[in-house]
Amino acid sequence: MNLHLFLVFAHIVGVVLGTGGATFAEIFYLKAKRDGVFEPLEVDYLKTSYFVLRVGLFIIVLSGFGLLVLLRLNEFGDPLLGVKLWAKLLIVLIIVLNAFLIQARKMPMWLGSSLSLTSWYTATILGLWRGIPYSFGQIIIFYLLSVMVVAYVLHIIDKRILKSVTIKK
Amino acid sequence: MSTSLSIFLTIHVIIGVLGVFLFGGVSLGLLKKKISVKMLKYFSLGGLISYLIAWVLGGHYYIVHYGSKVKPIIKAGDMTWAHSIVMEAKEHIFLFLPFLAFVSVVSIWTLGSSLDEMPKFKKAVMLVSLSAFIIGILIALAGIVISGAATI
Amino acid sequence: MLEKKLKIIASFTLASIASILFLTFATIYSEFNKPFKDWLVLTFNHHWVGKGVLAVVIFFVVAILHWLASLKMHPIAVDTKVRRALISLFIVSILATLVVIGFFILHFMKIF
Repeated sequence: MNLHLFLVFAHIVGVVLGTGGATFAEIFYLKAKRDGVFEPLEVDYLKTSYFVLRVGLFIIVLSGFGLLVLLRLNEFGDPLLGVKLWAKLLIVLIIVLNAFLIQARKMPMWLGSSLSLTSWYTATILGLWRGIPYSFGQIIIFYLLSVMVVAYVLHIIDKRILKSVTIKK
Repeated sequence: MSTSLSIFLTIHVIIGVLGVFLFGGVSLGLLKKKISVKMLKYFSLGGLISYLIAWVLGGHYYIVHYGSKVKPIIKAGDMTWAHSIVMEAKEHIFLFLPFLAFVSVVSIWTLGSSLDEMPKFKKAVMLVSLSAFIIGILIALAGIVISGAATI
Repeated sequence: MLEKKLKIIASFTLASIASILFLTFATIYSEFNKPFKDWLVLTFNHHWVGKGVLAVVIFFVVAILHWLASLKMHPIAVDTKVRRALISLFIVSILATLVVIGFFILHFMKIF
């Protein structure tokens, strides 16, 4: 296994942990929110999901920069200035900023959850997509629209869960 | 580029990014109501050491190689601004980081868990760590632009 | 004990502010004053090394002087003053970053 392959593998592991962590964090959050009380076990599951998510982010960032260094050393600069990379970098920055704002309790959870999920999945799709035919602006506009759509979908899911709990009671 | 310079550049980038990550962790950790002193101490110290190593190795690369070999390539290309703005800003702003990191380390190591009893003070230490984080991010992004301009 | 710790933090914080302000000044000044830049090259082999070394020297000089002065002082509300110094360091570092970036943009556009 050469260095490039190792870094790509590490990057994919990071994506799996990060996107998976974000997904399960949202699932556990919705489940915990059902009865309006966050039990210690539920909080523990959430903390574990966030931890896995952060480990994923750490691996992504380090392996990602490792891949960028390889590009530099092999004098292959085009991807370094490409739309895909900079869109992914912006989205990673949004993930980090979102984490800060949530921790500082300055971000409403309906938006924070949507930003987190949409960001992770958008970055994953961008990573997988070869030959993206869109400009940076177009990608970001689509991303922002997706944040709103995901926020709405999560709101519907939340209302349905709350409705089913109310009916059971 | 010689093997040693390639190694220096690689370590400069990876350890610099590690430093940024660690200060992100410090800033986030200081936002919590009850801080994890052990984590903050080791993250902040690790971040400072990372920035210092990145400073030395990056500086060596900059003095020995960048000026004579990379700068002419960028200035001869279409992205002269990558040197004149981005690299010039990067090489000077980078020098702020060790001082910011040092203050963060000293604050956390001297006060430790007392920070929990001084929430406003804790926030001020968080802001200094945050500036080490934000400026670190800018430096890292600048590095990508410069590398791209040098190899396009 | 707490007062002693806060004085150490204050000394290093003020020293950092001094170093960052010096670096910002030296960065801009050396672009307009060739003799200064040449002196840095002559003394330290490279202007960037010179700026770094001088910033470190200023850091330790200011830190030591402030700490020695503070030994004789017993200011009230010490933690408030040190907190303000830390916030000032945050503001100075961000502003200095913007000033340096702004300067090089304007310098590139030949406005400065």
